[in-house]
Amino acid sequence: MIPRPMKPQWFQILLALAGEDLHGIGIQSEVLRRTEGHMHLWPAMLYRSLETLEGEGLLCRIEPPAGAPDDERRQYYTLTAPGRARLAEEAEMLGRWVADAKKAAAT
Amino acid sequence: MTPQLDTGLHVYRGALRLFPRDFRLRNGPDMERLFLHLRAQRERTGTPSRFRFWTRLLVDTLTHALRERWGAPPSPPSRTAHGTRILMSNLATDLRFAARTLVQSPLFTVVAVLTLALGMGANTAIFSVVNSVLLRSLPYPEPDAVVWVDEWQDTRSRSLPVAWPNFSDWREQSRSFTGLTAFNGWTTTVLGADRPLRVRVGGITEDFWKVFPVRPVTGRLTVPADHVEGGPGVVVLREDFWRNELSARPLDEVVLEVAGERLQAIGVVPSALDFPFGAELWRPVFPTSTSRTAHNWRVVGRLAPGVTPEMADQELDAITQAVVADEPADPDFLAEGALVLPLKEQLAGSARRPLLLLLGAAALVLLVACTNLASTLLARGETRQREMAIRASMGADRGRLLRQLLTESLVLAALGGGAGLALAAVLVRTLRSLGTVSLPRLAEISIDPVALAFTAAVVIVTALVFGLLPAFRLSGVDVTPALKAGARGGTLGGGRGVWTALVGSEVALAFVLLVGSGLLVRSFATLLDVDSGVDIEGVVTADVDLSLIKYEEAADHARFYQELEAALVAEPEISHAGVVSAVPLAGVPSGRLDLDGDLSKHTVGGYVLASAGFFDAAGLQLIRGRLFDGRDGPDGAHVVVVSQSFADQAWPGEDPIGRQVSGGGMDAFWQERPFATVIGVVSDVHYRSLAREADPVAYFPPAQRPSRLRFESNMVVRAATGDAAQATAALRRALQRLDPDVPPRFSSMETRLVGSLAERRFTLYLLGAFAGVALLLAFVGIYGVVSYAVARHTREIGIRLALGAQPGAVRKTVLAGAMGMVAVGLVVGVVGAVASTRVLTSLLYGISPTDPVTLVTVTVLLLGAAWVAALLPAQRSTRIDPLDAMRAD
Repeated sequence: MIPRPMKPQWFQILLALAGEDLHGIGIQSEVLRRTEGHMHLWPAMLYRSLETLEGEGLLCRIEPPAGAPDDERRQYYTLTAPGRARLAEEAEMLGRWVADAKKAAAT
Repeated sequence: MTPQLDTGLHVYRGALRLFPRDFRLRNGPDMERLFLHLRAQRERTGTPSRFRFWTRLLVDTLTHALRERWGAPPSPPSRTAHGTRILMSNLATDLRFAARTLVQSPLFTVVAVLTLALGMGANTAIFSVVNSVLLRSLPYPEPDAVVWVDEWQDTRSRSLPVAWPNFSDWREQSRSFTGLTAFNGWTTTVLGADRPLRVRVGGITEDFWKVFPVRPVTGRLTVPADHVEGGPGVVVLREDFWRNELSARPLDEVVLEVAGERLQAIGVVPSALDFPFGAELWRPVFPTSTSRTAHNWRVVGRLAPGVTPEMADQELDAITQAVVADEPADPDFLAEGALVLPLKEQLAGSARRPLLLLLGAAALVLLVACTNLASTLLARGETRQREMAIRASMGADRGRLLRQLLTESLVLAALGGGAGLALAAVLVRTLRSLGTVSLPRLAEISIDPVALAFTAAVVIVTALVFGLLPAFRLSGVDVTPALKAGARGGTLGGGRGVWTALVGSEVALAFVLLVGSGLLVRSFATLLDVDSGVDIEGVVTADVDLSLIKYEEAADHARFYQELEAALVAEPEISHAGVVSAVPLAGVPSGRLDLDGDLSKHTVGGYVLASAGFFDAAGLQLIRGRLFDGRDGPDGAHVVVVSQSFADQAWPGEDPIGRQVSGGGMDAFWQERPFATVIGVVSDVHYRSLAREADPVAYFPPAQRPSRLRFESNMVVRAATGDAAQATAALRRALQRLDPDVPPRFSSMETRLVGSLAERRFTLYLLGAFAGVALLLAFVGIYGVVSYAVARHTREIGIRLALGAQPGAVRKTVLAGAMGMVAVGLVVGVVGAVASTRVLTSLLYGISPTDPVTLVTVTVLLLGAAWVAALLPAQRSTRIDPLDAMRAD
């Protein structure tokens, strides 16, 4: 079982894949962009995380989409239905905390 | 960017091997792509620095690889794995902390990693070479039982090839062998394949396959019936030859012309077998002489179970002494016994000594590296005692501190190990690509995992011991005084003795290596000054080998070369051309030559056939008399030209012109031995090697004694313009016109000269590189230790400066301290060098192993380097601000 809350890099990976199916470099770039350069996913960390999330059934490997620019056989990843659900749960939980924190900071 | 040339990618790929195989198979290629992407990004933006990038990358790889291998599976985290998880998270913390510490002092990290890499890389590479060449098994069953047998002359301390009757007696009488076989081998023209070829052919006799019991890929090996003279000729092929040159045709369709015989192919053996001398074909051969002084054979045997080479040696000694007892005395060439050596030793041959020497040198480099590492880590550890004390007072227990230091040392060792592996890979590849180096079994060399593991273990133990020493010391004392004293540089600084020992040994080891390579450099320079006797510029040789079927008689060969010579001198690109049976620097057949019409009077010298054109083409000087000319045809009176040293040896102080020499047993006249009259004396040539005396040689005209031309013939031409390439082209054209079935091999005299020095150059370069590395490490070591000393005495120096000491005096004190340690090392080094350079004696030429020029030069060089290394921190000490120094307390 993935602990709650999940590790930030896992959350970011799932979030990146929620938009579109990506390969490793795509995930790395998307996470870097979304976190405004704060979260660098180094290769070993990224691919070990992907293995873990795959093992939990939250994402799975797919063939490169038709028309992908790359002629090499890169591995693409897509979010599974449980993965999408788990991302939503996590977001919902984080959202509650953020709301609480905002309330607390405002008073 | 081709992946083969991308070192960074190579290193990263090596690091990825830390991951379990299945993980790597699934994700490796994509991780490499991401690596390339990140690196490109880094290069584009310039951040982070290259150093930070690599450190982070390797730490990322290392931590995740460790967790992937040994960590609890990240999910699902079961309760029982809780303890492991704590440990792993501590490990992660330690690793992160270690990485941060190392990144914070990049100079220290770089120096330590480089030190580790150099020590490990050099050792692994050299050991890999030694292992492949000297130690690894040969490609046939029970290789250790195979021995090489030579005749031995005790009174002259030399070994000789074997005479057939001796071999035959050994084979009949000896009980030490399950197989004993005589063989020979040379390169010859082979026709009948897809094109005319020059091929290494092994001439074998019965029992050859008992000594080398290989299983044929197809067909059969030779059987005793094939070794009966006069039977149908047969030949065994090596698999790669069969596939590449014969397109793996069915054997019954393969008939090859080898050395004048048509041979039916009967079998194919695996490509791994290349004995003797890199043979690609094997055919039965038969004895031609029954003389016990005709040393025409090489012998190998397979020892019977339980028999050692020494036992076989004794048995063959006894047999030899018994059978030669009745022979007419001929002390020059009659065997007195036998010499039995393991085949592996024999094959390693002259490469053995330099390789063992280099292995020793690499071990010294490793020692220097370890010493350096020890002093660096010790110094660093002690300057960090305050940090340790603070952390201890904050509640970190001893185990926790030790573990953290251990992690640091391990990360350092892993980084150094990775770099060392990369270096070893590069070195091994470089060694293999040095195609001119005549190392046996060169192509088999690859990185040896045992060597790598061994050097890695040595270096890691050093790193651990010296990295942890301060922590052990710290935990043995009360924390409070360490805290107080810490700022002043510590009470635990270690005696001066420790530092003197460390610096001293580095200096001493570097000294020994520098003297060794200095001696080799000086001998090499001396050797380059030796005159080969040949004016090499623009001289090209072609090793020509005519079909013995097309050119049956020796006289046919002589005629062919005469025509070729005439055709060549007509070419505008060629000024002189001649035929010769032995090429300078490639060896010369030598034997007993009778003198002055008296068969009981003789000398030992080289026997060479040479046309008059050869002397001009090779640039030999005519000192007295004349060269061969039209008078010296087949029907003329026999004549000979001798070299200066031959004349000096045969007739010291007398006029050689008009004296007489026979060809001894060296040509077709070996029975009647007609004498030839000396008509000229020419300058000396080094036929064997530059490092040996010029060979005494008798030159006979091929027109009169052509027999050896059938087997040993080379054209030597001199380019009219000095351009060897043009002469080669003209030579190729002329040969093609006269007989297109001749596959010649060209080589310039210059290439031969360079090639004859290749082995020495190889040793020289490597030893030089080791010495350079040792010097560099010693430099860094001295610099580090003196810097540390200055840092430790900052306060004291500050006070002295405050009390009015001159900066010059302060600098002098620091320098004097450093040079004192260096001096101790130098004294030890001189003693060590004098004691150890003896092993170099056989590799030296023209200088003694205690050559004073080398010793003095190296001493000055080392003193200079040490001075500079110490001067940098000493200079810094004079700029200490007394106020800052006091306040720091």
